[in-house]
Amino acid sequence: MTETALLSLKKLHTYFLAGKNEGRAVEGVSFDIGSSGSVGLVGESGCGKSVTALSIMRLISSPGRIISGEILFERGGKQVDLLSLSEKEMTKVRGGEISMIFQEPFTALNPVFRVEAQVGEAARLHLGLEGKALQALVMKALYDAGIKEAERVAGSYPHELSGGLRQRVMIAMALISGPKLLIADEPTTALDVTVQAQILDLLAEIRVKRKLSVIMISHDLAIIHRICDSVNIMYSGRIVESSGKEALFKSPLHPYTAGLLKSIPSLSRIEKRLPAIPGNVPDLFDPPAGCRFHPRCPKAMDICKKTEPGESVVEGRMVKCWLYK
Amino acid sequence: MKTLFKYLKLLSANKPAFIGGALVAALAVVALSAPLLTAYDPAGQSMAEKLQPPSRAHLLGTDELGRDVFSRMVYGSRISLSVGLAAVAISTLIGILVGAVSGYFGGWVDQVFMRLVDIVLSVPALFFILMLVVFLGPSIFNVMVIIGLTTWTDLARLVRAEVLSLKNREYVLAARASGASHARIIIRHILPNAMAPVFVSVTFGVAGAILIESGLSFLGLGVQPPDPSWGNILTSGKDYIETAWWLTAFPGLAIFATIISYNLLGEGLRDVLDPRLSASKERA
Amino acid sequence: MARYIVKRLLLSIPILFGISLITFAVIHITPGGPTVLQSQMNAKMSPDSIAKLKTLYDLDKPLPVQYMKWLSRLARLDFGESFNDNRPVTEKILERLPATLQLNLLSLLLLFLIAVPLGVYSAAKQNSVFDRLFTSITFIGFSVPSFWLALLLMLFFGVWLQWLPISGMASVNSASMPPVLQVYDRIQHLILPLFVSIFGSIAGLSRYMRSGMLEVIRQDYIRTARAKGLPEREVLLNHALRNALLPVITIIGLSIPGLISGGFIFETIFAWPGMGRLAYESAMSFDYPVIMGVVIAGALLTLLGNLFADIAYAFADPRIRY
Repeated sequence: MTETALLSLKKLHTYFLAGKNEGRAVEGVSFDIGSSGSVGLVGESGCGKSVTALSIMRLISSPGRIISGEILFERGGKQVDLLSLSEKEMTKVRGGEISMIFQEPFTALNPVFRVEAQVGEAARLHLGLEGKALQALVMKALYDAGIKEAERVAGSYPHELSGGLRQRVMIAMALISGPKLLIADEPTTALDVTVQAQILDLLAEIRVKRKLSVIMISHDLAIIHRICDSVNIMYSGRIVESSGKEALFKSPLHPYTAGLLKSIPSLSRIEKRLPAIPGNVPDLFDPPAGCRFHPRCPKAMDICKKTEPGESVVEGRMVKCWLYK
Repeated sequence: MKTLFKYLKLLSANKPAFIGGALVAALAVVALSAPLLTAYDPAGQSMAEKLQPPSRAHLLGTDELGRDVFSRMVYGSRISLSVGLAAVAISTLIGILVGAVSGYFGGWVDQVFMRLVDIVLSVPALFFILMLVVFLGPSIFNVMVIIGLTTWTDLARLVRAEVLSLKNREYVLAARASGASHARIIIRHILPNAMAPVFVSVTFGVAGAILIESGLSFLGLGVQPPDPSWGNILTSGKDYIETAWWLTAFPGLAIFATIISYNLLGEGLRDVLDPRLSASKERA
Repeated sequence: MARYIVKRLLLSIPILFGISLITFAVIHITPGGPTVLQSQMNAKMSPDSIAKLKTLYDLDKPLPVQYMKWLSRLARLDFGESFNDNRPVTEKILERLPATLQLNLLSLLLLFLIAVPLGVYSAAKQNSVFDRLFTSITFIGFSVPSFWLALLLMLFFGVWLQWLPISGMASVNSASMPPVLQVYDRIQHLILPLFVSIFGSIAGLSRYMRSGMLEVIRQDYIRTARAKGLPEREVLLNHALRNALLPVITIIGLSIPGLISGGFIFETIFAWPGMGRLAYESAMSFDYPVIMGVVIAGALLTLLGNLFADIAYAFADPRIRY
């Protein structure tokens, strides 16, 4: 897969430094995404999904820091390590080649600028458009994001729009310069259910239409199921299972994946209580020894408490668990 | 008592608070032991020795009436400090009372008090003070009272906000359910928990009050000669600016040092007592 | 917007009413008021001014009548006549207003132009040497008594170096100078008073600006702006600054009464012929009507300043509904 990969993470480490302590938010994460592929990053909050995404954008701010690893991205037929780019070169990548949309559409838009200006800004920066041409492109971008009253929305301020519209504006803004990769960080979590479905449909449609690669971040496997081809399950800063979508949903390998799958609310089981995984995500600054999931794992063995499992390959799928050694 | 110790420990570990606190304490010692520190009567005139620059006999020189500047400054510290502390005591009392009543009872009481605050704030404070000084006549007592009467508004708003956030806590509701009177609830249950920002504000308030007093005295509208105050020594400094720099330099330095000490202590107190504020500062 | 302005104007009516009540109350605790005892304690109060006060404020009539008369005078901006030269108080104030406005408007402008960039720069370079230096200097800045700073500057630049004049708005012989020199002369006279009037405020405002910027930089929309590929400069100067400036409008509005009344200290020191100095002069000569006039004029200017600030805020922040 590496030859055709659009983006390839290799052993990414991102830590948060607090005095002498370091919180290892992302520790040795590697995965690939091919062009027009779509990969899900799944896990409970605090497991390093967003930090991974922000690391790709190189938007980790102090006290966080990318310690080591490579983020190879295909630019003009060549693989370039984003971590080696100058800040100036990186601004061309951000919004131009890789875009990102965020969880909270209300706070993610600047309250003092009109939608038009905020959406247009990216196109002005990356495509060098001005005036009428820029305006026309903004309208098209809004329209493509499924906004029917593009004129009215363009002239509005964010606080005048509903959550769903705001997220559509975010999508228009992210896609206006024609990026190759979109990172969507819990894009529907803050929205109510019907709007969620609309936004997901929009993303699925745009992905196909534009042959866009998507990294979808969510704690909700149902959303991932709708958008992604392959899934990476993250726990405590590392990927514990990586697999094609169908295989993963049919037969999860890692006990954590199994736990996540059981907690999906589905119509057929709506009356049953959702078996959430007991316990909490480990403290980044003080993780347990051995497999980080062992204190919550129903199948924990003695070895799990002492030694961290390496990668195992089962039917072409990767998993880190002593059950498969 | 235990918490008091904890705070004292935290305070002494906080550098600005420690330095500020030490300076404030040193100043209080100077004011209290004034007669021991000076060889001259602060009001003792000696025309033969007028306007002398600093020397061994007169450490900080003499003024236009031959009075020893060092003695006047040491005795002046008594007046400046007591005016500052008394004024703040008055404004704190009013501020807590207005803020607590306003926040606790809400409704029209709150409306009336908060409009009053708006009104007081819309009159430029120094003009207001000036007017009162002129109409009541300048004296140490009047200056204390006037500064106290015009500087309580910020504290009132602060206390009101604290009380608003505390009055629906469970322990307050429990006290109310057990039939405690309003006054008792406010004094025993609410105010003790609202004190942290009050201490901080009071510390900054002393600095502010001393600044106003010395400004008024400097202009001849505060402490009247022959009573010495840092401000009215500076008046001579202005009158003799071309010949006697020491009359400008030293008393001003004393005011500056005092204000900076209280401000340092205030910042330190805020870091220690009001973790919310200092947390936002840390994150910032 | 028009509706908002009208609403905002209506809101200042109760405050005006309150000011009239407070000033009325002050007249009644005066030596010339009903408590005669106090007038005997205040030796500087001459029997002549007591008589004048009695007629001016109708002190022999019943209280409600007195208040109604006081209110109607205020509404007409009639503060009576000065005890010193018998000229109408309003005229004396209007004569001093331009000098005060000149100094205060220039102060506000400079304050804004200096403090905002300082705060922004310090926030952008958080924890740098500049930032630490800045934090300490501003701390000292608002602990320095302005009148002492004024004296030190006079001593240093006026007396020792003899670079700058230390009093007045212009030199005595300025009328006989060519126009270019007249302007130069004016500017020279402005430097020290301006510096003193804004020194402390620069410290305060730039600190405020710094923490405001730091607060805004943490917001989600700043991350969005960065994710869009905006260079950091534009993120700070466009997206962050616009938001961080909003509260500054309010702060500047709130600083108006301080600037105006603070003027009474350094206008006096620098012999600047403004309202503050008028207040001082009339205080020293117990010219009650003039002091009353200045206090009320100061309050009116403050209300006006706050009104402008609120309207400016409503213009600048699209989230304000009116």
